[in-house]
Amino acid sequence: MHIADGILPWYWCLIWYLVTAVFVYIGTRSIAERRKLNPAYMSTVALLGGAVFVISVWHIPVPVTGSCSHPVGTPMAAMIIGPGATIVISAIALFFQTFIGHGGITTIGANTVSMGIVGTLTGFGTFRALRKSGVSIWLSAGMGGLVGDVMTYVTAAFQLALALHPSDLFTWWGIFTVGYLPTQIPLAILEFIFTATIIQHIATHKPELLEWWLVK
Amino acid sequence: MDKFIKSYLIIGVAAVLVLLACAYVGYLVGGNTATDDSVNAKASGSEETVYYSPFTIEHWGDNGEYLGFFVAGCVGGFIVGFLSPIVFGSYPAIRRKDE
Repeated sequence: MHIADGILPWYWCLIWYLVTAVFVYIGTRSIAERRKLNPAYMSTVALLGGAVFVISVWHIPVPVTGSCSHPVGTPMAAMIIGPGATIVISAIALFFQTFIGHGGITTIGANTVSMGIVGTLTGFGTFRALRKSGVSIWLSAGMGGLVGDVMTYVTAAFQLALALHPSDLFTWWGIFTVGYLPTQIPLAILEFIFTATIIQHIATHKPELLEWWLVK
Repeated sequence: MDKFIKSYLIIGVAAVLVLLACAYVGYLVGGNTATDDSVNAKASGSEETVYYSPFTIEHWGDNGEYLGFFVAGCVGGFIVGFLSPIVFGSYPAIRRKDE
């Protein structure tokens, strides 16, 4: 989902930057509020920031397709620190990733929308919806990870199709999605496994980290 | 070495071996091209990736990429490793201090 520089027209870069700015503002407000309630919250945010940075540049080879790609890590982060804070750390992670040749300085907005906003909100939304339906923590968390991962790439494909082929949007959305998904589906299953494992582990051994949404 | 460290060393070594095997089979099948790069190339119509950043490790070629990922992995790992005991509080030293 790391769209590089020089692909999106300037106005689409600007639009995605503006969308990102709104969500980052809301996210920083939520961090500030929760920090007042619990000063230790910032350590968890920083930890998850480091984790999302590493996970989202961690290229994993998929032997069947002969190509490689990376998980996103944002659904897992959202389940621990909340979606607002996850959007902020995604934007920061994507900024630093431009220095190692992932994404681009003009496309941080677009990449934050796909990985940080859509990946986070769909993954977290799936998790919350399944938990409210009485599904177990590990299965809800795993499904959240899987859905967030796939939706990140579907959104990146949509952004490319919308910017480059608006007259034939759905055809090109499908073409770009097909470019991503054969490699991404095995990695979404991997994201299911590690998200389910980590969230279940935290729920068993350190449940107070998850209390903020358990009590709501 | 406690049980926790042993378990995670075994998982870590197993994960690296699986990654190496996957990379080798992937190399035989198709060369392990990154899907981000292949879709970007399809979208832009050019194999050349453009960078507007004032500095990117890609300017140093393939070796720069390996170096960049090595440094990024180490820095990210140190951040996660440094903060893990603070957040999860599972190290004996921290437990002793709490007690």
